[in-house]
Amino acid sequence: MTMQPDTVVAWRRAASGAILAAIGIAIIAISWRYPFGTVTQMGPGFIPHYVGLGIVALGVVILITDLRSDAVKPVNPIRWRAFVLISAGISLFALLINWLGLVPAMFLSVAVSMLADDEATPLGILIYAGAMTVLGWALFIKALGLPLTAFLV
Amino acid sequence: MFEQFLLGLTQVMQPDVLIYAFIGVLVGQLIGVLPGIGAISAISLLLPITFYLDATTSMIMLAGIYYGSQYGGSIASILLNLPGTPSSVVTCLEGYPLAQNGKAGLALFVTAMSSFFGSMVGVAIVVLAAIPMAHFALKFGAPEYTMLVTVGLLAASLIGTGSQIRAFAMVLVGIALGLVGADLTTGTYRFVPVPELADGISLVSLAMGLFGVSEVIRNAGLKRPEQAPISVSLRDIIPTREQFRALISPAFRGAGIGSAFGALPGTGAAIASFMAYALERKVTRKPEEFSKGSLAGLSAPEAANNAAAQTGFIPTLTLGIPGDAVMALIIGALILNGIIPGPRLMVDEPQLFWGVIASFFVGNIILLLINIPLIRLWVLLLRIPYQKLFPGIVLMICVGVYSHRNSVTDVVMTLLFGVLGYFMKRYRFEPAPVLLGFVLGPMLEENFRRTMLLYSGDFTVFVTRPICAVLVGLCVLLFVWAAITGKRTRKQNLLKPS
Amino acid sequence: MFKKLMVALPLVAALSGTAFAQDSYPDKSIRLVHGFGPGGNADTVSRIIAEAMSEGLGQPVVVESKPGAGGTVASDYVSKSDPDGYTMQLLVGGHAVAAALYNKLPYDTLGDYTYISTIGQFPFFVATQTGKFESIEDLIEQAKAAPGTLKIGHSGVGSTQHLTGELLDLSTGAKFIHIPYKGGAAAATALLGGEVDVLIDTGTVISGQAEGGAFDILAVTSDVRWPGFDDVPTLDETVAPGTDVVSWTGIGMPAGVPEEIVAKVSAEMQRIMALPGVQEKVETLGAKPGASSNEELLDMVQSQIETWTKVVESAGVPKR
Repeated sequence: MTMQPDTVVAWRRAASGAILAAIGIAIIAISWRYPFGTVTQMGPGFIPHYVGLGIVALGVVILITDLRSDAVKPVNPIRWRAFVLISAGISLFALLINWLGLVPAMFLSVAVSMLADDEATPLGILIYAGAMTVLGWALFIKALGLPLTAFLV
Repeated sequence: MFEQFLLGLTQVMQPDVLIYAFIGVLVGQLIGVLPGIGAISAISLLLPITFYLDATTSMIMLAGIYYGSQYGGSIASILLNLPGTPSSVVTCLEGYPLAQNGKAGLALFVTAMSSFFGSMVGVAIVVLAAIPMAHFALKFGAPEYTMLVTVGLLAASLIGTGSQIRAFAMVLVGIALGLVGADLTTGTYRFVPVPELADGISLVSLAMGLFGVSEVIRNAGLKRPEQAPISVSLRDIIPTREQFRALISPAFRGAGIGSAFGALPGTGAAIASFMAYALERKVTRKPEEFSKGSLAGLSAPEAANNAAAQTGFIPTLTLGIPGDAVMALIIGALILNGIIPGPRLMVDEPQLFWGVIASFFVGNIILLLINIPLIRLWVLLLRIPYQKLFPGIVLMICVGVYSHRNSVTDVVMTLLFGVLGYFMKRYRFEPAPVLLGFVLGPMLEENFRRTMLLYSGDFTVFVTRPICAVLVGLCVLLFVWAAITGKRTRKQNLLKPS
Repeated sequence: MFKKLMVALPLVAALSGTAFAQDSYPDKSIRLVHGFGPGGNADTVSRIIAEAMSEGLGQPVVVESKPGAGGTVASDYVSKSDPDGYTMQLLVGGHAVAAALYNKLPYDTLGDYTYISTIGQFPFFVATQTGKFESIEDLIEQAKAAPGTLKIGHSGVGSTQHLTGELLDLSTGAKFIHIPYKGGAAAATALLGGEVDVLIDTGTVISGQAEGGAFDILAVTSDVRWPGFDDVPTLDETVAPGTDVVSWTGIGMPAGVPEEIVAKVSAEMQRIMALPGVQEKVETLGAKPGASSNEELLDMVQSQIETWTKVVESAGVPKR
């Protein structure tokens, strides 16, 4: 056992159980709005209540066991660059697909997520994203005939 | 039976029928590789052709797409960790680690062989026992499904690598995610912030988010992807004699489980592959291999879901009741050909019934013959450095998820699940139990509430109905087993010097 | 090359804002949206119509599935699309039911639509396991003798099938337990297995089982006997006088489509619904094929909204 527990590490250990318990409480709170019903005629709130309770209970158990255990696995630092750029790439696709169409959505989402690789050059990104877009267009629209529109505007 | 099967076989062996079986299997496999797009798109794509074909040939082609895409789905799971269906989630668990250790070829080969084996067992069951299986499946009412799903969920909490409590918590999170949408029994909308989620969270977005997106976030832009050198030499693709021998019993167990569950209309294949995987984990002599690339853990669920894919045709063919959306599409094609599927199909259209069943047999052989040479081609895909591969994966995820329901909300949800999956892994939570909870939770709620409605809140139905009682017994057994093995591992851990 | 394309984008955007000449309609592909999953009846009907229509209009008609919330996600989407004639919707009976069932829809079922034509109409059938009941009168009698014991399976809360069952309760005074299933196939399985006593659903779900000897068809919900089911009595002539439940599929477009385009599409619908090939396919899906005028479809939607609003209120079906 470590004699002087690092507070940061303690926080990290407590986090997962605490978040779970919080999620459980949120589920119970929201399902309060739905009628509970009886065992024979269960309302829409019946099962969510118990699921929420179960999550709270397990969250607390996990919180306690995590705090007690002293084996702390080293975790790699979050690579924010990849995290942010991949998220941005997917969000861009969601934003553009119904606004500009499939081709711009594909191009920009590929180009932006490529930025996650710090070795990528602007020209490389342009060529690669262009190639992927043409490939995607040929595959999804021409070959598969999915009901997607290449350009919406 | 066997004579009729031979009769069907002669029908399939005609060159034009063979060609359509080949097209179906090939297109199914290729489109199945694109997760989220899968069988339904492939069938819709080829549906217009069926207007010009007779009913038997159309069915043979459409069925070929169905099981072809089953195999195709495994390819994306093994190579890229991109699952589009519940059964391919199970494939990811061992297949992707194998690919990361440079054994993608071996994994694909084992998958092909196990799928083939499972399918053959499934076909044999369909030939020998379609009618009794169908009648047995009808005995499954709401109470039976309730208990069956409970068994599945208990087995799931045994799946995780870490603690069973953490796995069980994740099952509950999965059940909670499954609550989103209109409540089936009352129609009330629960946890629905936007109307697009009124029918619930899409399974494709959950699976692709938790597995695919989180993996991309973890690895994107890494200079040295954690990958061993990739070999495409035949020696490294074909399992050794010992490996092969060790796979025989897992494949048999998987095929058995799959055949049994497949005939139940609904999510038979999904339950079967999770159960087969959970069973392998428990009976294995090499538990240390699991989650790091166990061939047995890959083979059993593959055999299971392919056996289930074949026996899944039992309710469709013998009762005229589609088990899932793809089956409904196939039945729709039959109707357009002027054949009303129903219990008389087998008697009135024996050449259709037996022709289709014989085509499973032939189609799976075709599938295997296409697959083996293609393996080297697929593996070459991994020679592309991850730095260049990941933007393409992002694209596949986006288009796959969007085109599944034409919903932008689904794409956003996929991203959220990707972030969730990323942090879950950091805090030692497994994503697979979430998926299982998500698939089985709604079934559990639906059938439990229906049981209470049908039997006016009487809990004794769960023990007075024979099949139910057996399933309850199975639950108790699982509990005891978990307790005993849990104690044993704890003891072993105590004995180990830390 | 791609850079050039990106530069050209805003230009294209500016151009498409200006209206094109309407007599050239259609000069690009048309979207036929429906609100259900691929592979269902709505999808199949859409494909039949799309195939025939693209021949007549000379432009591809692309079927698009936008499933969700009983078809209302698709309706919201279509009713807010540009009324330029390039977006149309395959509507089903549930379109009117939704207007009765939902507290607030994001669109106005009557005001936000241009109704074009029906494609087909179909009734629902009341079926039981073979030999369990002698007739529809026998069923209702037994249900009245033991209120709250006989179970009707239906394909989902708020479906026309469900509301028809509630209507049967209201009009006969019997008291059934209504058990929801996920779709007609699951409900049919439940009747096959004997979990429920009665099933109310369409011909596609029921007739195969009836021909195979598993189900007895006791009654039909239309006010006249249905072609092909001549010996099946109507509810109207037996236990529930005044019953006339017929569901339908049809074509609608957003409100505000130019009249010339409405006329052109309406004429096209009249043409394709007269084609024997189309009629035959719609028939095999269990519907009586037939086009209607714009007004006839509008009137039908209007009167069905009234009927279902009454049923939802008197039966106490929870609104959404």
